[in-house]
Amino acid sequence: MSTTAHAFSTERRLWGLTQKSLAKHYSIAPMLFLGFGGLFCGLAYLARIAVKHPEISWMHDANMFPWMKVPCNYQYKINSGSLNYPVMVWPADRPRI
Amino acid sequence: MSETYVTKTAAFDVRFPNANQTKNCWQNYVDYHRCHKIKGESYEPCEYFKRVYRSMCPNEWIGKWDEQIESGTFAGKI
Repeated sequence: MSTTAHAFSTERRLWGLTQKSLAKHYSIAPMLFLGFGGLFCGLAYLARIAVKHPEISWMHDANMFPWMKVPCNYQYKINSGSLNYPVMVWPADRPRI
Repeated sequence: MSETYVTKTAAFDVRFPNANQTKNCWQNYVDYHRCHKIKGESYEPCEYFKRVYRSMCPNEWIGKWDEQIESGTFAGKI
């Protein structure tokens, strides 16, 4: 592995990301943890929307109205506040069509 | 004697959990007309959908869609 110090060498690009270079300066570890953790959380949020949101359809021609297939007590949000999802039913005067 | 009014709005719809209720409005408008098409013109419970979309939808949209239905250019499948 090259040990020259030019700007785009592998050593410099991966500084702080390899165990060897991190061992000399452990104090940047919280910053790395939060940075990559935040990136992961953002991507996980997007993936969750793509998979669980009632208005998202992955195959448009086959599934044009994905929200119609959702049960009456489907919980999308993680924190439900004061809503009691298991006992939800459609309002009594809503006709079934 | 004074009448007592029962005031209420559209119930929470799990199909549209977020702040954007556009599809809720659209779906209830379409469901109202589908209800009349399926159950007949004088089926009273269809008014449920009408109440919901009257609460949910901006009046400009309701007017525009009513005109489109009359002229046959409405985009939804009824």
